[in-house]
Amino acid sequence: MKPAPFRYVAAQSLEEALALLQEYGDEGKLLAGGQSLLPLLNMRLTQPAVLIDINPIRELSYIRRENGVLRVGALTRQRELERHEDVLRDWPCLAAGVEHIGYFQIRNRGTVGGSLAHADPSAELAVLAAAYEAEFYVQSEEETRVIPAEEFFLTYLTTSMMPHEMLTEIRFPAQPSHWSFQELARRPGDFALVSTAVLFDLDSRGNACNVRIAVGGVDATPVRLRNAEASLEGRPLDEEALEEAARLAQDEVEPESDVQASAAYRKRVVGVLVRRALIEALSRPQAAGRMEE
Amino acid sequence: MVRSVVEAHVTFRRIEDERLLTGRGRYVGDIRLDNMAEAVFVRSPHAHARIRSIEVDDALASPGVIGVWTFDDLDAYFQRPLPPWFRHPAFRDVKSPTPLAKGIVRHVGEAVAVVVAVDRHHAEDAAGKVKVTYDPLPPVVDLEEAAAATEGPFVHEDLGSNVVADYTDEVGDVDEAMARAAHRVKLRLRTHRGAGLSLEGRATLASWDEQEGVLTVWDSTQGVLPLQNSLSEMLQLPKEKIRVIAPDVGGGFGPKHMLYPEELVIPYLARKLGRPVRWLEDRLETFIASAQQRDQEHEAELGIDEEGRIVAVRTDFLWDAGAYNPYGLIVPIVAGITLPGPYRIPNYRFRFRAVLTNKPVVAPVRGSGRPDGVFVMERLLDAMAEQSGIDRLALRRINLLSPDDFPYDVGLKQHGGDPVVYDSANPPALFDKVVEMSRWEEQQGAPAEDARRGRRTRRGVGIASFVESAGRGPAEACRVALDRDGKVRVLLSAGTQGQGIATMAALLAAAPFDLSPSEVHVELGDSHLVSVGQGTYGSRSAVLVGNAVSLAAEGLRDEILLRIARRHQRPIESLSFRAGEVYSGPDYLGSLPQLAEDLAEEGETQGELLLEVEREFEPKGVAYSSGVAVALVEVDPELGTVKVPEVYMVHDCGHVINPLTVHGQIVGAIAHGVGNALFEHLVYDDKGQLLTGSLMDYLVVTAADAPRYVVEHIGTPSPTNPLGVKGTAEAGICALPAAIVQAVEHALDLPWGTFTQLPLHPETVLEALAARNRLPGRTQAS
Repeated sequence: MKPAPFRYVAAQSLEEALALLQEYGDEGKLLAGGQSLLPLLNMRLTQPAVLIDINPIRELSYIRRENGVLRVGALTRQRELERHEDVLRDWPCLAAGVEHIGYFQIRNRGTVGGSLAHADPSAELAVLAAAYEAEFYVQSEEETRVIPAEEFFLTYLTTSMMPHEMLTEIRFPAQPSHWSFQELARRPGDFALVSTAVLFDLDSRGNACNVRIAVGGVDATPVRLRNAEASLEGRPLDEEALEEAARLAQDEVEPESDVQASAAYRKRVVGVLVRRALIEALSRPQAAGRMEE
Repeated sequence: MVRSVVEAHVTFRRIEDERLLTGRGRYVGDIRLDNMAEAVFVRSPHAHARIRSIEVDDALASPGVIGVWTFDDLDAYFQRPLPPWFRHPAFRDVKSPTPLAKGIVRHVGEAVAVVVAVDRHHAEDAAGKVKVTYDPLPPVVDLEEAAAATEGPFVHEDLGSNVVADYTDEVGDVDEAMARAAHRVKLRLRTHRGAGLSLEGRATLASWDEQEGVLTVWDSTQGVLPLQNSLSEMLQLPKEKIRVIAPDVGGGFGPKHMLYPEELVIPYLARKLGRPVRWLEDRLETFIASAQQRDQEHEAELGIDEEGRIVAVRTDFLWDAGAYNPYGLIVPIVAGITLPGPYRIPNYRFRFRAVLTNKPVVAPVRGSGRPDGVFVMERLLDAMAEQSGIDRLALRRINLLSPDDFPYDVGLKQHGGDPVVYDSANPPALFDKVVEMSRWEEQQGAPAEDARRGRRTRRGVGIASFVESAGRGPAEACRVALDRDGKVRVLLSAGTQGQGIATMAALLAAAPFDLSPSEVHVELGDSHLVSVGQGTYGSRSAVLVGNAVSLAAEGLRDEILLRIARRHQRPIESLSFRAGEVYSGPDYLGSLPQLAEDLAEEGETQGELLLEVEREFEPKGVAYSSGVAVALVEVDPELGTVKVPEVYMVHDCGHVINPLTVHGQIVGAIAHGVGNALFEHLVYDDKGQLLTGSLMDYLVVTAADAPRYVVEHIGTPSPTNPLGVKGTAEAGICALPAAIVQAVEHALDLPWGTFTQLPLHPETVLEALAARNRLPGRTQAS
């Protein structure tokens, strides 16, 4: 389990990293926290010619709140996000979801951008990005463009970024007031069989609005459960509504079977977790502040 | 005096720990010799295939490569099957692998070539350039199909069958007794294939001294002397020219007691190349090239009379041996003889067929068939409780052996042919104690519910018992010596892979001299230290090594006292050791360093060791440990997930030498048992490809899933050995799977005996619940 030979370059600045990406294109691979890349290298499942280490680029590591939006530098460690005061207070679902990523040792090294760019459909951050409708800031030598979460993930381990582009920042809009993150893995720290992030607001009459239900582990990308969301929109979240949403959620996903769980089991789990998430979200006091800056 | 140590129940911290926990361990991977090359094996991607050709030119031209070998490149003397590790007369034939595959590969992972390069990176680069062309053959994967095949496919064509042994052992007249039973239950039970993982993979480093003609091998092994023997045979070198050292070994669990092609190929190459060669197994290789465990399919039946007394038990099972059978019939025979446990079973028969398949070889792994035997017996009792309406505890109590029954002849034979005679135990005391400790009565009635935010978990308890052979010959030897500094030294060939054997040896050797264990120097795991012994396996070291150390230490004490008695002209009976010093009553007669100085002056010996005593020990019969475990589970009835928050166990390992070590062994094995029950499963597809070949997919229990443990002891000293001890390393694992599945049935109010397979998957739990909810007269649990 040793990697195939590769050239290693440590980029000292964003400009240098982008220039290297421009130069090497498909041949180059960015090294951030290395938590997914290194096993792939060691098992020789990927054999890039050049490894461009972006760890020296300190300017890519930051967490900033700006106009009610959370701006996270791509090189920010997952553990920093999980424990950041602003995140805990105003984006608590993000902190709660990140806590499910592997073990704390992994989160100490693993980066926010690295996990998202890796685009594993069972990754917690991918599910969270889908639920928050995050925006992905992607740069190349020529331009910076913004990709909405819905267009960022194309399929397993594939994003809409070009080989010469680099994810530099992720922006999480303000969080709806009610939230829950639920995950089932065979053991704590394992890849999720199913994970779900549920966000919604309650209007003055107590009806749900702005409902978002994102699920991971059931498709080639994280998915939004539009039918379940629509069923709750503008409705009081009574027992009947929860049951219906859970049923729709379960029917809306088309997971595949693998060695850990059958498709039928995953579907069932989606229903159970979505229902639990809605109950948990409802049971919370208005914890997440409506951010009025 | 040593006996008083084991009776004292004083806990000592392991002397191994400080070094290991502060990163100062020295494993094979830490040893670097000058000019050392590293090897990588090219392994078969097919479960069954004919090798058409192997092209090595590109690999040879790869940078840093020293050489590439296939079977055809080996010297004629080395082109033969490995010597079988254990033979059994019931085998029709013994098939052992060759050092590298000869013509046909029989499981994914079988080594077909070896590449040696200046380092591991270059060796792996070159290994990727070895081009092997295979003609795939039909793989033998499914156990039942493999056993039934009459026209093929066969793992070994020349056998004309995949069944290599058909073995039966019986006590009483089972068929007659079963016919008159008042109640009978039949179950089809399956325990699935698992791995035998250690933190450290297998590892071999060999160095050849051309001048002396001496081969030194550092190997991550559980048995240096058996490996020395095999190397001698395969490399055609006299034993005294081979030294095998087990440095620190990061876990063994059974598979590292076996002999593997790599352990022979690396020393062969080191001699051939005249430079040190090292191979370190990586985790991906462990899953395809190390020995694995289990895979049994039982058809079992239990009969009781009107009062609930067992009249007969029979089981007929298939055992998946893997692609070769060099490791004897230990696993299935141990499963068969462990099945009766602490219960009185006048009529019992087990029959099994050992079946070859295109999968890695199966060998003893912690438990070595015991958990399977216990699972079958306890499942039968549970199913009988369901059918007869007798309470599950009552049914067990009715059938427990009583203390007066011991020694108890079960009427069966060990895999070595010797009789299964339980030496000592008190099953009812163990049973009552664990029932009390676990507050069993409080846990009865409606399974408890715990509601939290939309989630309801249900709690249940399960109980299971076992008796296990834990201390069986052949002999181990030990030398205890006084060195020139006046230190007591213990020299052993048996090594330690985490069992704390150095601590045990220090503790026992210190006692006759009234020294602190930390003052005793222990060397172990080296074939040059002692020439009699088999190594560390089968929960045997407390009995075998412990008694040998204790006898040798007492022997050395007597030698020393004899000399002091002569020098001071005192009667030897008047002398005794206090804190390493010799007294005759109140009179101080000298210390060990002084004595060493005197002996050195007298020039009795020129060596480093001034006086030494060697003793061998083999128990009279076999020491049997026993225990009863209660598992508490929490089940999520919507998701089918099972957690095991608490495990209670009462254990009998005779006298406890070091309570801390014993506790560590038991809780480690309990955690292992939770893993066996809920997680560990090597899944193969119908082509014989492993689908769970990494730690991402093969789930091992972690600290997050490990229960809280409550362990107590009720020891009945073993009459088989002077220390009255019994082994303990496998105890924790034996009863856990059986207790856990029963507890899940309790939690969900399922019929007893519902679950028939291990490991228990959440989906199986949900299916059982759905089936139960379709039954009339049952309340909804979810």
